[in-house]
Amino acid sequence: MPAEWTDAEIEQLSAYIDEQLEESDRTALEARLANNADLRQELAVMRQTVALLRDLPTIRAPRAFTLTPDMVGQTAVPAAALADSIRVLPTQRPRQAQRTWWIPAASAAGVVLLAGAFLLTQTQNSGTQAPSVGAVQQGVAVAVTSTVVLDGSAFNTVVLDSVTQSVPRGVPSVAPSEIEQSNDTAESAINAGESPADDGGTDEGVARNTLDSLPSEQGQLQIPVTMTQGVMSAPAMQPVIAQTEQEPRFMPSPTVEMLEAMIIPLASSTPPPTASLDSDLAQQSGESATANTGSGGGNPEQEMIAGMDGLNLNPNAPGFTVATVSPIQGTVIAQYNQPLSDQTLVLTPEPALSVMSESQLDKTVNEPIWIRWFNVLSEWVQNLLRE
Amino acid sequence: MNAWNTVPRSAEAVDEAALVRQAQKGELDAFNQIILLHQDSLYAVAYRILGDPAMAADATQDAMISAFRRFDTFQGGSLKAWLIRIVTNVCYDDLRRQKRRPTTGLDDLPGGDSDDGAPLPSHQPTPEHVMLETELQQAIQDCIRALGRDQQSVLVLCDVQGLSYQEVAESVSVNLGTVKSRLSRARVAVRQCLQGVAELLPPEYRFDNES
Repeated sequence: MPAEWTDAEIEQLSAYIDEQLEESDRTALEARLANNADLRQELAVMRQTVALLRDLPTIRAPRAFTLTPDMVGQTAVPAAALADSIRVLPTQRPRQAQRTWWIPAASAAGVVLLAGAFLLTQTQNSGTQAPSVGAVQQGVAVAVTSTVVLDGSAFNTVVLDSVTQSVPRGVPSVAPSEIEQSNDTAESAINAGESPADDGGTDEGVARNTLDSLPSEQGQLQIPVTMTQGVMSAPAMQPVIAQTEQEPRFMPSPTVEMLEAMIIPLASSTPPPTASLDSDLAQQSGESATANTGSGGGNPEQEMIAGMDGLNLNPNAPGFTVATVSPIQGTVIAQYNQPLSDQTLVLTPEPALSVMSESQLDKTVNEPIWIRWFNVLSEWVQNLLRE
Repeated sequence: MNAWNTVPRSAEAVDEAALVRQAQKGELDAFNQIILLHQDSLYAVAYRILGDPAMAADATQDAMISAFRRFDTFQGGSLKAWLIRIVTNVCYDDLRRQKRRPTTGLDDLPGGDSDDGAPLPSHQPTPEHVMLETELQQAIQDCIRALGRDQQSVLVLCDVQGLSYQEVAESVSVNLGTVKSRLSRARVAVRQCLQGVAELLPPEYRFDNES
């Protein structure tokens, strides 16, 4: 830069080349240029420099920089593989790799045992209200969402069709769209919600409140979940709605086994052993099996935590049979397309938070699997004896 | 070919906003389409800053991974500027790392893969001008790389990549006034640098012809 030009003058020339000068500045500069040959030369030199830079050849990418699922910690899982990995009972998936070897074996054994026992129950108690095997299998189908083994921080999305929302008594409803909002926003929504429990709210009131909060009765719910080292979790620290007047609280992200409890057959007041964990929860919540659909009597004293409300698949809507995974994104798409008669599948992105008491949550997380299996079987036997 | 007025391929034909919405939900397909729209510009920025094709490719790829993971933080505005900011940050991180731990890879040795010079431009120069053009481009590239980081990024984005002042401001997170002043100083610095290789300049670009 020649010594005679100030930074401001050079800046003006530069901006003038790019037509970035204000009208008044431009007029003034052009007047100076008309009378100053040195300034014109400086402008010409700068123009040449800019032209050289702009004439540089366009560089094209030597290859595509598109991402693969592996690069971002997603693993594409074929739908068929997911279907094969359906499990009936929620199982404890250990976080440590060295504990994983016996889990599948125990699960498989348990599934066989319980399936046999369940069939036996069906035969012996044809009048019971237990769901059919088919229904249970349907109910289990969505559990494939929790078998996706991914590693990374990318979000996957569980997409459900034909979802209606209902909430336990006393729990303010939250629209599905709010699930994707930030914690702060969601918490605000929760705080702003009216609790029917305050006035002993009726089920109808809950239902109306729920429907009002939904864009339509039939909708699509997208639940962002994270896959990390085999653990599927909803976004960490989701806001949790406490029943009655308790303060909203926050719980850690649910683990795989919690998500496996997403599907809860609730047609019977004495749920089959395959749903024992869920029956545990139903009993602890003091509600009948249909409580989450809004028809049961709740126990307001029960310290039950609800996370983003229970999300019931519409019992009048088609059943729940298809779960597919996009080969690229790892997106799990669960479809609800077969009649379930009186079965109700309860789906919640945070099942543990929505239907578990804190003690149950602790049990679910910390108990060894064999204790859980034992408890499942014991309870089932007790139910049989009672009947 | 003049890069000033180039428009990303098909950028206008694609509903970028829709892709952004999908990508923010974690849909990798949508994000990959965004990459395809902008990857030429992003790679070019990386190359102009790093001056090495392999490093530029690595930096671009790393930046895309980073962008995908942080895509939920994209608050709107110019997506291209947002991506460029990530690319430039990755590039300068690489340069800083390289400065701390200078290494000479096998490819850098005579006859190595990186001895092939700059990547081929999108248009092939005529054989008669290959040598001159290559040397001139390398000289300009060297002058660009000799700039300080602040001036360099503004000059590359504005004069080489053809971004508007506003996009440059978004990309480097400064205001328009700062863009103007940095750009003017960078242009003067490049001009002074190129005076050292005046013999490479085409006659119409020889600065001393103006007097």
